[in-house]
Order: sequence, then structure tokens, then C-alpha cells
Amino acid sequence: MTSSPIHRKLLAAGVALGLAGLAACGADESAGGDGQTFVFASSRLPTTLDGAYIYDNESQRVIYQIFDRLTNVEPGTSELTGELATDWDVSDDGLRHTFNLREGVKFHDGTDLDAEAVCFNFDRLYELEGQAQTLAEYWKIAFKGFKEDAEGNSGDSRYESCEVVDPTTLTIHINEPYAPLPAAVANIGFGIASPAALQESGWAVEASGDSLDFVGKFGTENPVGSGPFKFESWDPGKNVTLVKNEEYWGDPATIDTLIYVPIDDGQARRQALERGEIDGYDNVAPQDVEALTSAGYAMEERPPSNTGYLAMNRDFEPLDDVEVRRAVSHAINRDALLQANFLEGAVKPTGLLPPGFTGSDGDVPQYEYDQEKARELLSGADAEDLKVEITYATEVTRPYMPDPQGIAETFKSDLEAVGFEVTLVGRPWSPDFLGGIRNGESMMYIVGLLPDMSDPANFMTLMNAGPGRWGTMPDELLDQITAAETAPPEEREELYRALNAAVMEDAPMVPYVHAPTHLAFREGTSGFVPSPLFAESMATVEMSD
Amino acid sequence: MTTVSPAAMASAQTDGNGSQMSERPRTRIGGGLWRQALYRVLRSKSAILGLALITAFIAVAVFAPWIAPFRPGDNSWLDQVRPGQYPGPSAEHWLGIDPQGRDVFSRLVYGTRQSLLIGVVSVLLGGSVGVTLGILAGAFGGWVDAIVMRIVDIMLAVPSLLMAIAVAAVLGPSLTSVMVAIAVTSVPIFARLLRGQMLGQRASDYVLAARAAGLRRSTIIFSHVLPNSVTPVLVQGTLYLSIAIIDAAGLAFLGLSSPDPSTPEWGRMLTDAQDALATAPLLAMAPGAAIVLAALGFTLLGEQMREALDPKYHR
Repeated sequence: MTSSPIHRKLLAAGVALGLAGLAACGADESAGGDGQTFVFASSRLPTTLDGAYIYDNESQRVIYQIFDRLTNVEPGTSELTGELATDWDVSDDGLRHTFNLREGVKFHDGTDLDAEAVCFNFDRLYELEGQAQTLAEYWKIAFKGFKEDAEGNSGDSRYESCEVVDPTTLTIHINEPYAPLPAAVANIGFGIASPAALQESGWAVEASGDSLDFVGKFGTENPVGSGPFKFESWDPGKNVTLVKNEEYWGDPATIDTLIYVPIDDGQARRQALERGEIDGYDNVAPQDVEALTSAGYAMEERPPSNTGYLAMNRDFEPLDDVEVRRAVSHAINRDALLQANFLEGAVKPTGLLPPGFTGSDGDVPQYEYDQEKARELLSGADAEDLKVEITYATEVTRPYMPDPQGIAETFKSDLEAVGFEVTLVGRPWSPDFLGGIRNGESMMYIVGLLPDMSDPANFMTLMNAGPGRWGTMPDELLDQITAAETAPPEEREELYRALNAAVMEDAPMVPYVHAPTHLAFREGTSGFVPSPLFAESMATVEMSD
Repeated sequence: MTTVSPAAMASAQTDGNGSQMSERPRTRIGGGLWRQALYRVLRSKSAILGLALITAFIAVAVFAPWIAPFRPGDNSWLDQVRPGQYPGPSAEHWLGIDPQGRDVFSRLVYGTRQSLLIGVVSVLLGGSVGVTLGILAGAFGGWVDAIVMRIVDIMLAVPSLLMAIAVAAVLGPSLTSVMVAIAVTSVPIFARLLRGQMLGQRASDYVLAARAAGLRRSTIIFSHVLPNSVTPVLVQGTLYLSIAIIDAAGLAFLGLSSPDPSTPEWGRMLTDAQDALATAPLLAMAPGAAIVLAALGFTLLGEQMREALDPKYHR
């Protein structure tokens, strides 16, 4: 005779508790060395520390501390400035960009950071092959293709060559004008790495099943740059440890040891800070900001430079009809959505470009919340059935979507109020959700863009990201995007203004928020400068003991 | 929860059937087992309470569109919501507003439909499969019995909620998979119960008499043994409804129910209320109370039915 189910449930619970207890005994606190140790919690650890292969903030925040770039943005702004380059110059035809380097800069391994080392880095990226090409998003943003494509043909790259003029001067040659280039190379993907370390460890990457296999160990074991922090160790799944670079060319860091730990749950991050296990964390939930501030924690707000949007893929009916897309835009009560989900700093978008970006201040068609207007547009549209599906990401929060499911439910309610029939589908952020939108599987989806550089091209290129995301876009619009990218600097502002308006006229999406984000630090922490572009150095952070 | 362990009940029923024969004439005189039972049930206060809860529960489910003041998806009050702050109960919104600006009371009312539907369908499904297996084992005995009961033992060896989670996870999140998952966990309980009853009846004198009279085996099984064994199964079914409702909420809580999170569902409402537990506990307490009351209704009624129908409890 078996025991009763209740007894069995109790037994199972007992076993589970016992196991949990054992696991707790096995865990230990990560020990810091001498001097000041700062523990920062992000939602996960980096994918790799090779900037060439990353396209996410969690990797970026760590890589940023180890490497310097030719250019950068002024702390806390999107204004371009020099970093390793003291100044730069563009030829009249827009095809040659000459950078003058800071003198006497050394990599962490003691080798010289000179024009030759910089060109080695650019050539390395240009010559990436196979799997590496699919990962090198920042390179593709700046230079389109590579030396050779997968079939061994010319890779249709904008990049021509990197010429060493003298030890502190180099010229990057491109084959078509590209005005955003100095801004584009400020990206984390263009962090200048030690050629010696690169050659010693290698940078090859292969796909193995669904995951990536970093065969070359540069990014996982030997990332050597010239930044204010040096790589110390990486315990996969547990932490990445950096130590202060005593020989930094700029002001050295005040923190001696910087440890990144992964805590994926927002509530758990808050609790870890409250228990004193960590000294700071990113992406504070909107509802926690006030509570933590009044409890004395140092709160930093990142200016809203992102755009969250509800995308519509026009290869699906009824979204092929521009009137239906406009009806969707009118149906959504963005004011209420913003108030309910975001803090006061959140901005209701007028277009795709966040405030402060070139071209964001133009006259753009607006779709105000108007259910009557939405119904009217739908009755005129030749859409017979108004069945739509909205895909949202699970297991993730983003500044522009602190609660993806809740926002999806709001969209559903809003759309059903004007006559749509909406199905919601939740998919894990990576790879299902992101893969789905790239492959054109998602009819409508909620996502956003965190800017990579201080240039409107960054946002507009998104509209040209292939048919998967948006369906078949009108050619005129795509031509307009390319024209704006390659135009001389003085014409760009007007072109992007027009483009911002043209995109909204076509209503491929409903931009619903430019959201601020918050970082919480232990009481008495100062010196952190939040950046709209995530160009955030930990070198300036000071802790009071 | 206060539900009685089904297996323990099964054994109680089996033990009780020995005295059933001797009681039969008396129940006949009283106007039939069912009428007598009904009379006894209606005399019990807790049974009345259970019955009232269930009636209310069914009425709310059936008349949801008339009872709920708003559509469950109506988010007209989103403009009153702020991050982490949700309007509490008011004259217009009896249970307040959820983080998506919807009326909690209306969602709770519509959620009743889901719970009742899942409860009834899964118990019917699990009950019918379980009863079929029970009849096979009880009627044939021998190796059929051995095989069926080993399968039942295997199923009983896995904790029921774990089994439900596994089944729902394999089938993917949907209403149907929740029903199937809960049904699967109830199969061994019904099978074991009916088999025990039938084995007890088979050994009784009236069956012996029927066999001596030359009745066919199938006639004996279906006309005599089965009708006399099925009462505890009905009782068990009522009691299992409460378990089904709790399990359904549990599965929805774990995200294994309807794939659309906007479906008004008690378990899902509990999940979504988790993050607001500190600031708006009512968001979790309302569906929690609904689950408890519904389960309590079926448990009270089931318990009283068991006592009323089981001659062992006659006083």
C-alpha cells in the first residue's frame, strides 16, 4: 500500500528543502582583495569580452572598462570627443578619415598603443570570416560588409584600408562617403586591443549548435586593452573580476577591484543591494526607484535615449494596409501606458528618434489616442478580419519595457477596444524572440532600440534591417535612408528630419516610450556618470567607507 | 488545504463496504439510498454551506457577463495606475484595479468560468478513464487486474502535482493541456477506488446467488456489481473537483495554463499579483480567497455526501 498523496507531497518538499540547504552550504561569498572592492550586479555576465562580437549592454558595460576607443562621447552626453585620438580630420571627398593619436599610451601587457596597433585592429575586423561576421554588428553598422563574404566573393564593404602615416597618425580609407564614421568608431565594437594578446590567444569563433564556441581565447581569457581597468579573472556563471590599471594614461580609477556578478531577477538585485552583498546594480524597477531613494541609496538616472515600440510586419494581413497600421497607432493610449509603467522622466515619442538626436525636432505626423478615429480608419480599410498576434519577450526586462507582458496586455486591451482580435504570445528573449523577429515570424512585436552611437543613422538603419522585421518596405523609404547616411555632414540634419517624418507617415510601428533608466548604488557612492549611450566608466566611481 | 487524501478515502470506502449488504434492506424501506442520502445531506449545516458555495460558484460562472460590471479586458482605468501604485477598492471597483488598469472584480468573475470548466472537464475525463480501468481490473481480475494495478501504482508513485506539471509541460501551455494534466493525476485514484469496491462486491452473497442462478458474467458486472460500487466514485468526483481547481490554479501560477496571459484566470491573477504583494496585497488575496472558497464548497459537499451515502456512517 502506498502512502497518501499528502504524505508524498510532504516527503518531496522535505527532500527539496534538504537539497536547497546543501546548495546553500556550497555557495560562498566572493572574496575581495586588498583595497576598495566594488561589486556590481548586472542581469547576466558578458557573452565575451571581445568587443568585436558583442551587441548587448551587459557585455558592453564590462568591456568598456578594459578598452579605449579612438573617439568617445563626453561623459553623460551624446557629444562626440576624442579618446585615443586627440583630433581627426575628414578629406573633402569624405573618403579619408585621419586620426592623430595620443602619445605614450600603453596596453596592459606593456606594448605600445600606436598607429600600427590601431590599424591591426581595424584590419582584424575587416578580415573576420564565417560565424564571426554574423556577430560583428558594430562593424556592420560602420562599414557594412567584410573583406570576403561566405562564398569568398568581395564582401561589399565600405572599408578600404587603414594606413599608418606615422606612429601617432593613421588614415582610414573608405570607398563611399559615410559621415557618421567618427561617431561609429566610438562604439564598444572598436575598442583597441593589444595585437600581441590577440595574436597570442586568437579570436576565432564557431557556432556549436545553438550556442557559440569562442575558440580563440582572447575574449574569454586574455582581453588586453588600455583602459582604466585590467582583466583579472572570469569564473563562468559567477563573476568577472577586473583590477585597477595603475599605469592608465588618464586619471586612474579610485576602485581597486571591480567585480561583476549576474543576478537576473530585478527583485533579487534590489534585495542583494539591501543586504549589502552588492554595491550597485542597473535597471532598477520603476516602482523601486522611490523606495530605494528614500532609504538613502544613491540613485542615478540615465537620460531617455532609447525608443520602445510596437512593430508591425506588413507582410502579414491586415497590416499590409497603411490605414490599419495608422488605426493601430490611434488606438493605443500611450499617455496612460507611460504613466502606468514608467517614471516621470519618460518621454512620449513624436517619432522614432529620441530627443536630442539630429533630426528629431522636425514636423512629424502624430497619431494621438483617438478610438473613434481608429474605428473610422478600420471601417475604410479593406481589412476583412482584424485578427492580429502580438509577440512579447519573456524572461527579460529592458528600459523601454520594464514589464513586457503587462505592456502587451495593455496593447491587447487597447486594440480590442477598437475592434481588433488580439492573441498574445510570449517567447523567451533569446534566441526565440529575437530570432523570431529577424526571421519574419512575428506579426506584431514589442521591442526597442538602445542607441549604439550618437547619430540618427543608428535608428534609421533599423528600418533597413531586412524584410524580417518589417516586411517589404517601400523602396523610396529605403533609398531615403541610404541617401541620408552617405550625405555630406551639412545636409544630414535636414535629411534626417524628413526621414523621421516619412517613417511616421508610413506608420511601420507605434513608438511608445523614450524611457529613462536607473542605477542604484550603496549609500555614499558618487562619481558615476550615467550616459545615454551606455558609455559609462567605473573609473570615476568613488565609495565612502 | 482541508481536502481529504483521496487514497485514504478509497481505503475507508473499501473497509466500509462489508457492512453495506446488511444495510441494504433498511435503505430500501426508507425510499431509496439516494433519497435518504439527500435527506441526510440537507440536514447537515456544512453540506448546506458547501452546496451554497457551489451553487454560487456555478451561477457566477454561468451568468458572468451579467454579474461582472465590466469586460475582463477593459483597461479604461489605466490612467489611474502609477508604477507600483494601483487604486484600491472603491464603489465602482469593488476589488480595485490591477496594474494593467482593469477591474479586478470583473476578472475574478470571468475567472470562475475557467476554473469551473477546468475542474469539471478534467474530473469527467480523469473519472471516465479511471472508471474504465477500474472496471477492467475489478471485473476481470487475474493478469488484467495485475497489469492495470501496476500501471496505477506507477502513476501513484509520482507526486500528483509533479505529474501534472510534467504532462502540462510536455503538451505545452494551453487550457486543454491543463485539463489533461489534472485528469491524468486523477485516473489512478478513480481506478483504484472502483476496483476495490468491485472486488468487495464480487465476494458478496448476492453476486454468488446471481452466479448460481446462471446469470452471465457481463450481466452480473454491469447490472449488479457496478451499480453497487459506483457511489464512492461519485463522492470522490465531487471531492476531486476541489483538488482540480487548486491544481488548475497551481498550473496557471506556474505559467502552464492558457498561453495568453490576458486570459482572466485565478492562478494567473495570483502570479501577476506577486510583484505587487507589498503594495497591493488585495490583488493576490482576491483570487486566493476565490480558490479557497470554491475548493471548500466542493470539499464540504463531498465529505457530507460520503457520510450520507456510506452506510458505515449511519447513525
